[in-house]
Amino acid sequence: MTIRNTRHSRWYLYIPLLIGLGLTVLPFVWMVSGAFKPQSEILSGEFTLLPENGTLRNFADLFTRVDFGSYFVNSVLVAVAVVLGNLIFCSMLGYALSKIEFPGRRALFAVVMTMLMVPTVVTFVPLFVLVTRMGLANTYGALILPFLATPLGVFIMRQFIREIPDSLIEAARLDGAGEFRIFFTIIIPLSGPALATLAILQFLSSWNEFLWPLVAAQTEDMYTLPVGIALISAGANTVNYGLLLAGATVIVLPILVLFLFLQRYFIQGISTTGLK
Amino acid sequence: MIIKKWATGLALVTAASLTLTACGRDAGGDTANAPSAPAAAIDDSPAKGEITVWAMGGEGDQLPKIGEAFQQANPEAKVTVTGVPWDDAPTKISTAIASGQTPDITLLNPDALATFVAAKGFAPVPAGLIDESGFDANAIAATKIDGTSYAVPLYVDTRTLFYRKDLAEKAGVSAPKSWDELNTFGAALKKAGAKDGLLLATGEAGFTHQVLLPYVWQAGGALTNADQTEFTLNTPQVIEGLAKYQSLVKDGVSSQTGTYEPWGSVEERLARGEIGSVVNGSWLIGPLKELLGDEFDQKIGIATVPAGPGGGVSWLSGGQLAVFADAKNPDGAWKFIRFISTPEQAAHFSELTADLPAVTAAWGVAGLDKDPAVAVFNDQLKSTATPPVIPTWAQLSSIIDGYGERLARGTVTPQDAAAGLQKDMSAVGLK
Repeated sequence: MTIRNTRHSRWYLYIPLLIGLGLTVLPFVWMVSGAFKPQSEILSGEFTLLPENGTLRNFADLFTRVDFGSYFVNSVLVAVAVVLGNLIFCSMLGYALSKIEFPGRRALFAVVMTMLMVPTVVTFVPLFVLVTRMGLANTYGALILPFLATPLGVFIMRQFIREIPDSLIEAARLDGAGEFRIFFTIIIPLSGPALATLAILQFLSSWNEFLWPLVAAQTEDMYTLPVGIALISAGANTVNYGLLLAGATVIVLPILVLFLFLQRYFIQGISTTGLK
Repeated sequence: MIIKKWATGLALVTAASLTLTACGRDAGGDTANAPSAPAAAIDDSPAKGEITVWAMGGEGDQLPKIGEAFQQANPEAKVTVTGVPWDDAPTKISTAIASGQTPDITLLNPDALATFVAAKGFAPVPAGLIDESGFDANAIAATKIDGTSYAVPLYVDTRTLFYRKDLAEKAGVSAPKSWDELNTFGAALKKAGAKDGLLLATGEAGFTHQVLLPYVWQAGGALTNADQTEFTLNTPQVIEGLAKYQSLVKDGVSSQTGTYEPWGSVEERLARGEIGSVVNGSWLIGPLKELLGDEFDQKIGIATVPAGPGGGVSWLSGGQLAVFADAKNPDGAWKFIRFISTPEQAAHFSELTADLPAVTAAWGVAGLDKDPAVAVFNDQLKSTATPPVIPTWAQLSSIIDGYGERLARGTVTPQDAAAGLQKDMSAVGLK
């Protein structure tokens, strides 16, 4: 009876929720449907959700006109490397900054926090100069190395690991476990939700990054997806909107898949921590 | 219309690259390419080695074909073209200059040349490389900074009046030859069914100035004095030009909030008859022919822009090829530029891209003078002007954009706008 009552009294909550959902999803729907529209229909000035004269030409152009495959492979390689690097290095640093006593710990954390506040534009040119001086221009190293560990990732991991009880770590230490053992068998398994969050954030930022790969990649075979799509869809005086939207659709798909996949761990992680 | 985001892109990166140029590039590069030092002449021996080129958009797609022809003539050379997205090219070029990690050649918009030269990014054109008299004179002028040429024009871009011929016939008007006829012409097209008699871009950052400035020039006004030492904006001529621009909105010919956005929609709207007329570039011809098919000739008229007291002056922009100061193969790079500047190759490139060649002799070779639509552009090229080639142009143009919007909205009089432009632009300066 009580359950029925709450359900009954709550149905109206779905109205604003549905409106919100509609507003959020609508641009995506329009993007996907635009990917199937010819240019004239996109520019016709009328808002239509479904294409009137659906076409696959945009996708055909996308996959045949350019070296789409190599852009895709580059994007995947870079994103995967960046995510793995962040998971490993940020969690290590997060552990050190929250659980190990060493001189200069607070100062080091202050440095991380400061880096978090420096806008990327400021470091953009110096970073590129640094990378070219290291002889890395136009290599995967240039696309990956500068982002292997990020201040945001260190901050997230430190804050999460801080909440893990010290007694667990002390018990392990009494049993004779070294720092690496503690890190890999206690800290990492308990940090699931934070690692999932970090993975999603870093994958997103690496996958969508535009300016850095544009500048760091000196030849077309090193371009990533966003750069490649900007290259083919926008000319000096025209924009091929269909091609652009088709490209955007293809770019979004892996992110959706990743999120759907990690979402399970996300929720699982949160519910288990809640039970403790 | 070309590359409207360049202005904003440039403004963002200029500061960073300027401050870093000194430490970013090695000393050897700096001394070898001291600005305005007379560069050694390029000999006639075949080019050797790899020549790397950055080119944008459709030009980037087609340039490899010229590269192949070059390689046939120079078997020991190899031309590698990397496509760069148009909108973001300034960032890429600036960062490359700052770090010294550059290709040999880049294509660029004349508006941006002075900024990159100020960052010591480009080498001066070697003496005797090209015969300047064979090029469009204003396009050549747009490559010079303090008398030294830093780039070679590849193509030109000027704008003419595109109008709906059928609507004009219905309204009983013909293409306006003078300012006086322009407003009545636009009003008649509007009466005949167009939403905008003449499309004006009023509030578009990075672009409004390209629409507004030709009216100033048509009135006989100029942005600066002849030696480019000071602005000459608070003059009766400039005021008259600004007033003409404002009158188009006041008379209801143009919408107060006219826009060329979304980019590439102007041709669609013209084909639909939503726009009665618009001043735009030759790139409109191809898409319009595609959209209208056989109806193109009866629906679209193209005419040179209406003349004011100072003549029928139109905006001139285009594409230039520059060689980086840190180029690894400057000798090969200049030889490639000399190659593409021959009438035959320039004509070939124009056929591939539908660009208007900057080399005047290429027009006949490409048969451009025979196409009646393109021939109008040839006429228009006799009367064009370019903004001054100065590193502060990105900031200055955004000031003009702002006044353009206020003029269209009627929140400033032409007199106050001219005085304001003089004051605000002088505060930014010419260097």
